[in-house]
Amino acid sequence: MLRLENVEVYYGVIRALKGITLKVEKGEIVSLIGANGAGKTTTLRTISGLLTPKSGKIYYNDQDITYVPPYKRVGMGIAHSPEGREIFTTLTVYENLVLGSYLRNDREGIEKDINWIFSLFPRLKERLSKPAGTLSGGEQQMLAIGRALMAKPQLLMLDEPSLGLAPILVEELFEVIEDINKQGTTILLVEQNANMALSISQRAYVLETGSVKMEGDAKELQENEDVKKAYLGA
Amino acid sequence: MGKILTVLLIELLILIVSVFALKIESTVGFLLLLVSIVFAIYYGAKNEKIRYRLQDAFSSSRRFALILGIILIFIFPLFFMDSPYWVFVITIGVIYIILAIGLNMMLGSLDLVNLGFAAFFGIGAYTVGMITAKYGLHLPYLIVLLLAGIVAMIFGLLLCLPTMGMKGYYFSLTTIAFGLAVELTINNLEWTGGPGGIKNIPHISLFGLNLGDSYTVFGYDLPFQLNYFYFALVIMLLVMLVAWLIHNSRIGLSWNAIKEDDIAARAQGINIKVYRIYAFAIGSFIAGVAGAIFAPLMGYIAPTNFTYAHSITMVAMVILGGIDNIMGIALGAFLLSIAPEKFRAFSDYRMLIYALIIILMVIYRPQGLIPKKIRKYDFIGGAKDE
Ligand SMILES: Nc1ncnc2c1ncn2[C@@H]1O[C@H](COP(=O)(O)OP(=O)(O)OP(=O)(O)O)[C@@H](O)[C@H]1O
Ligand SMILES: [Mg+2]
Repeated sequence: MLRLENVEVYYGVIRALKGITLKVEKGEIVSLIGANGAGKTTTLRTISGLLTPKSGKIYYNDQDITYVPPYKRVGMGIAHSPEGREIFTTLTVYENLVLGSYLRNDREGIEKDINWIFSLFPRLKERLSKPAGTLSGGEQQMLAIGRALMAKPQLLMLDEPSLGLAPILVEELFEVIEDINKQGTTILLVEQNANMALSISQRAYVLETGSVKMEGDAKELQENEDVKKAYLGA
Repeated sequence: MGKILTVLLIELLILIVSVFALKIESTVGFLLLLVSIVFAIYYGAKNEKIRYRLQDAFSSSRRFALILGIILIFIFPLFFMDSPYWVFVITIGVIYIILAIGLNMMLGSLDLVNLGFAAFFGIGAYTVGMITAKYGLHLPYLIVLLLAGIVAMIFGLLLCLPTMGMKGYYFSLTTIAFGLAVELTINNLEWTGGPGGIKNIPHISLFGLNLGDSYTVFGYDLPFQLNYFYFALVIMLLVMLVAWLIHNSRIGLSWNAIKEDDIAARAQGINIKVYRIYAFAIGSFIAGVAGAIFAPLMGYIAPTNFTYAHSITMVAMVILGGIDNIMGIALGAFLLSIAPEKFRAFSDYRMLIYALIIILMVIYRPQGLIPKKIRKYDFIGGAKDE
C-alpha cells in the first residue's frame, strides 16, 4: 500500500532522514520505534506531504506521490494524527471533528463516523461544543485521533498517541487502535511505548539517527536482545 | 415576555446613548460618556449574571432583536435633521463599518494584518471617479459599484499572489509598501488627477432617484445626506449578511483553522492557498464597494483620503470592536469614526490615540470589546450562530 524508497529529508542543512526504505501492506499495523530525534515524526510528516524529500520516492497504491501536495494526499486516504496534539484549540471539539472530514461529502457517513468516534471516546461527546483548548491533555489526544479518523482514511498514521495518557487509558487506547485496524484501516504507528506498540503490530522498523537500523516481525523484534536493551527498558 | 422587554429596553438605551453621544457638545462630556460605555460593556461582559441574562434574552428572541435593531438604525439619523453635517458623519461611519468588515476577512479570519487596506478603498473610489467624472460615462450606478468592487478585487489578487507564503511582520511590511505605492501612484499620475484628485463626481442616481436631491416627506425637507445614509445602510446590511453567512460556512471554519495552525489545517486536506485567495478577493471587493459609496457622497476625492493613517484606523476599528464578531466590528468602526469629530481639539494626536488603543486592547483585551462567539451547530457541515 505504502512504499518509501531511499527517502532523504533535510531541515535546512540538517539531514534528518538518511535514505529510509520501508513499506506498509494493506491491513497491517506497522510500528516505527526509535530514540528521541531518530526521525520518526519526520518520516510521518514526509508521508503526509508536509515535508518534501530531497531524494527518494514515495509510492502509495503503486502511484508516485513524492510531490503530491498534502491536501491531495488526504483525499487519497492518508490521514495523520500529529505529535503533540496539534488540534485547533480555539475551535470546538465538534468543529475539530468536522475539519477532519473536510474532504468528504457523504453527510450521512460523516454523521455515522462522528457517532462511532463518540463510542470510542465517550469523553469527547460530553465536551462537544467546548473549545478544544479547554480539554485535558489526554482528551486532546483522543480528539487528535478522532479527527484523523474522520477523514475515513485507508492509512492512518498515529504519532505517539499514548503521549501523556494515564496508564489505564493507554491500554484502552491500544485496544481502540486494534479495533480501528480490524474495521479495515491500515495503521502506521509511532510510539515511545515500544512494548505496547510491538505487541499490537505485525511488523516494525527501528529507526536510529535517520536510518532504518532493524526491521522485521514485531514479535521477533520484541524478543531481540538489542531491541530489548535499547528500547524496551529491559 | 420579560425577555422581549429586556431586548427592547437595551436596544432603546443604545439608541438614546448614541444620539446623546453625538449631540453632546463638550469634549469632556463626550469623553466621559465614551469611557463609561466602554466600561459598561467591559464589566457587563465580565459579570456572569448580567451576561447570562442578556445572552438568554437576545438568543431567545433573536428575530425580534434583529428587526427592532434594524428599525432603530433606520430611525437613528432622524434625530439629526437639524444638522446635515451629523448625518454626513454617521454615513461615513457606516462606510467605515463596511470597510472594517472587509478588512476582517483578512485580519480576523486569517490573522493577516493588512496595513494597506485603505488602498482598496481608494481604488474603488477612484474607479467610480474616473468612470463618472473624468470620462463622464453614464453607466447605471449599480454597474459602476460592481466595477469598483471588481477593480479593487483585481488589485487584491495582485497583492495576494506574491505574498502567498508570507506571515506576520513580513506580510504587514509588504502591505504597508503596497498601500504607499498605491497612494503615491494616484498622487503622482496625471491620469488620476495627481494631488488634486478628482472633482465633480456626480451623485448616485438609482431607480430614477437622485441621491443628491433633497426630498420632502410630510412637509419636512430632508437633507440629501440622508439618502446616502440609507443607501450605505442597505449595502452595510447586505455586507453583514454575506459576512455572517461566510463565517458560518465551510469557508469561515477553514479560515479559522488555518489561522490557528496552517500546518494542521493542511493536514486535514485544506488547500490553504485557495482560502487565502478567497480572503483577499472578498475583502478587497467589499472595500471597493465602500469606495463606490464614498466617492459620490464626497463629490471630490484625493489621495489624502486613502493614506496609511486610514489603513491603521481600520485595523484599530477591528481590534477595538472584536475580531471575527460582526457586531463588535460595527461598534469599533462606528466609535472610531465618530470620535475624531468629537475630539477635533486633539486632532493632532489622533494617530497616537489609535496606536494607544491598539496597544491597550492587545494587552488587556485581545478579543476586542465584543469577542468572537462560539458557533452553534445543529447539523453537520453548517453552523448556526447563537
Ligand atoms: N523543524 C525542525 N527544524 C530543524 N530540525 C528539526 C526539526 N524537526 C526535527 N528536527 C531534527 O530532525 C531530527 C529528527 O527529528 P524527529 O522529530 O523526526 O524525531 P523523532 O524520532 O520524532 O523524535 P521524538 O521521539 O523525540 O519525537 C532531530 O535531530 C531533530 O532535531
Ligand atoms: Mg517525534
